[in-house]
Amino acid sequence: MNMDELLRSIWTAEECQAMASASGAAAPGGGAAEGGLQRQGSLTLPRTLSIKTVDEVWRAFEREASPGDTGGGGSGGRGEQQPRRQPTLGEMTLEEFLVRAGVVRENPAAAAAMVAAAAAPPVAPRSIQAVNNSSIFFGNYGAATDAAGAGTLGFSPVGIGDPTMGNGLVSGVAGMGGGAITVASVDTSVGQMDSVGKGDGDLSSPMAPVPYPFEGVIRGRRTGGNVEKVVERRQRRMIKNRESAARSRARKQAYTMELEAEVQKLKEQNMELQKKQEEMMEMQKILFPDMQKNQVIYFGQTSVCDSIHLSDT
Amino acid sequence: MARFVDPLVVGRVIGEVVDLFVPSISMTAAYGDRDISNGCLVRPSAAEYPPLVHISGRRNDLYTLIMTDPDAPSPSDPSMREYLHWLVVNIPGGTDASKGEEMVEYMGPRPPVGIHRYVLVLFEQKARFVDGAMMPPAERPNFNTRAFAAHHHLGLPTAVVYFNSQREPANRRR
Repeated sequence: MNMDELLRSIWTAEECQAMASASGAAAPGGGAAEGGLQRQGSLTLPRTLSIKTVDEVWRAFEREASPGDTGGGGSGGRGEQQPRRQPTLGEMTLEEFLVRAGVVRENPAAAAAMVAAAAAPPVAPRSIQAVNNSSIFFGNYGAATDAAGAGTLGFSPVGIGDPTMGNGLVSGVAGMGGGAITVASVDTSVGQMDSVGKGDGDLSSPMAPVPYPFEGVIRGRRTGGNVEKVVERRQRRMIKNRESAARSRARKQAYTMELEAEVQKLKEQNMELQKKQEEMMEMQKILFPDMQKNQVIYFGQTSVCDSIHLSDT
Repeated sequence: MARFVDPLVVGRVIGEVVDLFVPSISMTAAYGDRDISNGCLVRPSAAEYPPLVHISGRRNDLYTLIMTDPDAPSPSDPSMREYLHWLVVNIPGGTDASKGEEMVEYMGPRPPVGIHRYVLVLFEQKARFVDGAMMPPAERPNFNTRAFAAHHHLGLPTAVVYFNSQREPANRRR
């Protein structure tokens, strides 16, 4: 499965969920949520990313996580976080996976307000925990912060994505407020600057048209007790959705095959009939040369020709 | 020949309803003037009444036709698989299903959830089912085409065609 498929398979579920929780999530522009979410329906992945398989992305993470690889663009802050990284890899949520893979970037506060003003759906406490322990998700991300880049980082308690580590470019901005984490994002131009200037740690390609606005990548849930249930339910829903997507693909393919077979059959039939007609015309030329002049008679005589033809052979 | 079976394999009709077979009889089915081809979508309202199912074959041979829904009540949880919609036996070859004996009355597709497949399966009978020789299933849910065929010595199917159907929004129903 490549990233494109993964994304497609989870999208519908995510959308429904986000819609459902939009109202509860208390976005200032809650009303806009629906429009924003619908707009998100048409997704295209950066080409370089979409062809990657999920496994490849995972491997890339693991490579990133291995201590030897920190060099280059990394900063001191990143190095420090290194040891804490490993344990969190195991319990990465889908959202985190997507964020790290560069599929999803959250909007900067401004954009978020504008586009999908919204739905910062609730966060599962566990995911927060995971994020807290592992600033890497963002730090790693090449999420260096540019002073000019409107990168407001409301992240004090967690200290994710330390602004100082930046190379002077903004790519990610994270804001955390009241239990819901929203991570801000790069818009295209910044993203390009980022990869061009730094070319480090960022999986998204400069070709990427627009990073997905993806509000509520990390959602909060008010209660702590039923996290397991929520996660399980979400997983089950994801699996169901994947199955359903597979069925849908199969349905489409089956119908296409049926139609193709039909076309083939009709083509053959058509060719056969054309050949027959040609033969008949030849026959007629030989048998009734004078009749060629008169089309009406020609058609009127077809059956006669046919029988002659048949009796001949 | 294989290409006639392919859509059935991809649509998982072969596998979930019947085993791999080689079609030996041509069967055409149509709801009104709408021909059914594998995988086409038929609205439940267009399939309220039995389709015209015409079969080839010799007049002396008799055929059994089954219409079944392997996706009941929902494709992701087909707990009733299969749901029997129609059972006609003793159809003479070269005629249509109306010339046979209807053992289980036709019931149109009424998919509650999701897109269901409705499969028309034709078997060649070894002999005529005379009164009492064929016990039609007492219930429609949890019907099993394979078991039914095995029980009545029908062997492999001779023709299969299936279509899809999905619940219509209320305002479109007529």
